[in-house]
Amino acid sequence: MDELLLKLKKEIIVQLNLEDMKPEDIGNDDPLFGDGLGLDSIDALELIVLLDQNYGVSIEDPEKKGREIFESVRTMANFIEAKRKAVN
Amino acid sequence: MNLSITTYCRIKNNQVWINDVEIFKGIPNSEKDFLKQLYQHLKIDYPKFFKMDNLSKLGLLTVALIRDENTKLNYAADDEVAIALQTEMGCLDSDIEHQKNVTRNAASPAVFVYTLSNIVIGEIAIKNKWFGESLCLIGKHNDLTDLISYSKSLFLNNKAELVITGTIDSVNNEHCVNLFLIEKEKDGTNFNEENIKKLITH
Repeated sequence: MDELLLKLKKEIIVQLNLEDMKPEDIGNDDPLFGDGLGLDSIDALELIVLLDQNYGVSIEDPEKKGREIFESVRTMANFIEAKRKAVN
Repeated sequence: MNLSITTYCRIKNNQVWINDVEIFKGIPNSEKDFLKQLYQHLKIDYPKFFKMDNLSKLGLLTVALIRDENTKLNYAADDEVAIALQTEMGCLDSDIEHQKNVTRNAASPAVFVYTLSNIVIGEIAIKNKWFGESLCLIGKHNDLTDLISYSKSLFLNNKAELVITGTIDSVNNEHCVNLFLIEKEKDGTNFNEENIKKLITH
């Protein structure tokens, strides 16, 4: 899980152009939106694309489930792991 | 009505002039591109800058330079400042990038949102909290008749107290912008097509 968390942080920084930010600046449970990283709605779409392209997982109902999945890096990692287990 | 150009910012060949005085020159072959160098030089703290396309970055920085030079912009009501820009190449950079992404089946929402030439005006308006009139024209820089006519009409119809107008282009890391702050003033260079063209082409 730690490896996945770190990988996700690196990918988020690149994909969302989070200038001057390093993986260690993002806490596993830090909120991604609002007062946390301050991401916006376009960033949310980019995160959906990231999950699809890098992990082959899609969110069936982003409007309902997106908030929960993208709460933090840990919730994203949990979602990926759950999807992987479901496939296996 | 006397309309004057009271502040003028020009960026070309990675050099910046305010009212014809060179104030900044990009460092060639730096790991930071020119726009990032200028952003840091101006000590702007606006993380969203790094998510923008180059056209929007260029517009944002040029307006910041004008605003630093002419403090009237700081005191105008949010609906008294209008923005009217003309661009030859528009958002071509973003269009090309989006096309490439689509071709490899990997469209990026963050790129797609900049595939409209007038987004630069939106970004300037959001950053500066200006909600006045705006216009983005696509056209050659040697024909500014409509741009100037529109800018004048804003004053004549009491739609703006201050107008930021001019030309802007950024393609393939080549930036060229000439923005003018226009005011109801007797002092300053008279605002007309002849004077604008002189300043742009000199």
